[in-house]
Amino acid sequence: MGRAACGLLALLAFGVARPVGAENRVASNLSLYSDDDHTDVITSVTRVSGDPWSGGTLEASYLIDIISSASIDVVSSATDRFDEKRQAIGVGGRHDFGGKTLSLNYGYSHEPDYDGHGVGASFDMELAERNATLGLSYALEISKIGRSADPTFSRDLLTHAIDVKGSQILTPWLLADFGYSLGIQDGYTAKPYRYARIGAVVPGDDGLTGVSAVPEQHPDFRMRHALYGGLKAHLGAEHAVESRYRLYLDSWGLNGHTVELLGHLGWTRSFGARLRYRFYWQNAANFWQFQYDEPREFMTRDRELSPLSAHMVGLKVFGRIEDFWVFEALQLTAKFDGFRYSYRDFPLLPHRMGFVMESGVEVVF
Amino acid sequence: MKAGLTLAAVTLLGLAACVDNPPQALPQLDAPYYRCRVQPVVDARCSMLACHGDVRRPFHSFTRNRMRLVGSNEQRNLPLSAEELELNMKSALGFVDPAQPDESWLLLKPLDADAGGYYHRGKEIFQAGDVFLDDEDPDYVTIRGWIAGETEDPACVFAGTEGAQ
Repeated sequence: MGRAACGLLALLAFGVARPVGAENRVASNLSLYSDDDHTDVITSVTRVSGDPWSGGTLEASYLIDIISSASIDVVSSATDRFDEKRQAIGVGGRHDFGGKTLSLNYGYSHEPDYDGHGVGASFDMELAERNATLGLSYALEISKIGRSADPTFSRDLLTHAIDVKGSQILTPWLLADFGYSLGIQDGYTAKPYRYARIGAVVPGDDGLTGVSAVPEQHPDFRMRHALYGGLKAHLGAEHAVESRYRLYLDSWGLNGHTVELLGHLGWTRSFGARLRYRFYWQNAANFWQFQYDEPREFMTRDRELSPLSAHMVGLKVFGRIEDFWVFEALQLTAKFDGFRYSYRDFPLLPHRMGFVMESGVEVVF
Repeated sequence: MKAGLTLAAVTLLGLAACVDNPPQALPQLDAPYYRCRVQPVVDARCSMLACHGDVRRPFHSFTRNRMRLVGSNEQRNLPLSAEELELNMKSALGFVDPAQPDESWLLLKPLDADAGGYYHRGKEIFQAGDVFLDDEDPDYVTIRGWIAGETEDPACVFAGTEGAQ
């Protein structure tokens, strides 16, 4: 798969004749995730895009990440550590019909215990003399969930995502955007490695298990709603401040609120930075319990379905150098996000702290 | 505008339903049968310290001379207590399906994949075949009998469990 993806990247980047004014781009990002729950992930993403015809763009991407984890989820099942590799490819294209853009994409992702195919389509249009935009998208993902090194385990999951979004220029310096997302999951959403615990904790076990344990069981159907919006105020030609809010509700009784504040700083047209702070809070899915008193039809110990809150701060800097070597431009980015999650009712891991560091380089030619 | 936002919020709240999650009774299986016939199988074939004699395993079992609930090293070989036997049986009950005995994890995990069993990491670790190579293994048949509802004389005694009746 890796060789085929590289061939496709080369074809798109160099083998396509391009119309006047078109741009070709090759970008590479490398990121490192690390947290104090003993999980590290290194991710590399390579993207190429080109404009083979007037108004049209084709793009392709290849992602590989390597995960090494001895998190509490792993250790509490008496497994020491696991290492895993994930690969994903994506191809897509879009065409601008003059104020209206149609995009199509396809992606494939593979892990030792997961295979997923995704297709998507989106339509965006400009309205009111380009003072407003409206977008509609749909994505379908067909997933096969397995169990590492277990050929006898296979479950299906179908995921639909519909997104309606818009933006409106309110004043020459103030922009509003808003949207609604509907997600539907139909199939197996549990983790085959995770067990719910029933009964009192056995003395001396540090809360890792209960009297009985049963394989995690989630409802087969989940409907997810998200309503979001933001305001972006430009302060002069180069700076802006932005605030965003997102309300999340789903059919498992989980409600979430996200507030995000961003500052965009542009010292010159080709060098700038973005600062951001994000706060997230959620209650628990209504069938979640750390320890069940009695068996239930649905049981989970997934801490991401428990009551939690999270803070994240981040800094991103970027620069662009025109006419660099044989290229039209070179763009460089560096990003650092630090986060802290608090799991109120999950005593095995009350807090999780970590960071994501990312660097990127993109050439335009 | 305000009325529209209120309507949207109410609609979203209405869409966010809750999962009906009634309690399920633990399977009611015969305790004497477990004590006298299943526990000896688990002792002999499952509850080594590197395997299910580890309380972190979702299925775990207390056994003489191995993992014990309480006590010192010198007390490790005492007969299993009534509490340990009860905990062992409850641990096993999490992996049985009396309505479809042959679909029970307690049978399918240790059954070799070639015989229709599930993946079992113990087979990889010890590289000596899975616990039950087929469903005719007498110990497999014993466990299946318990899940299917067979019973044992309440006065039955198995060596090592004398003090736990």
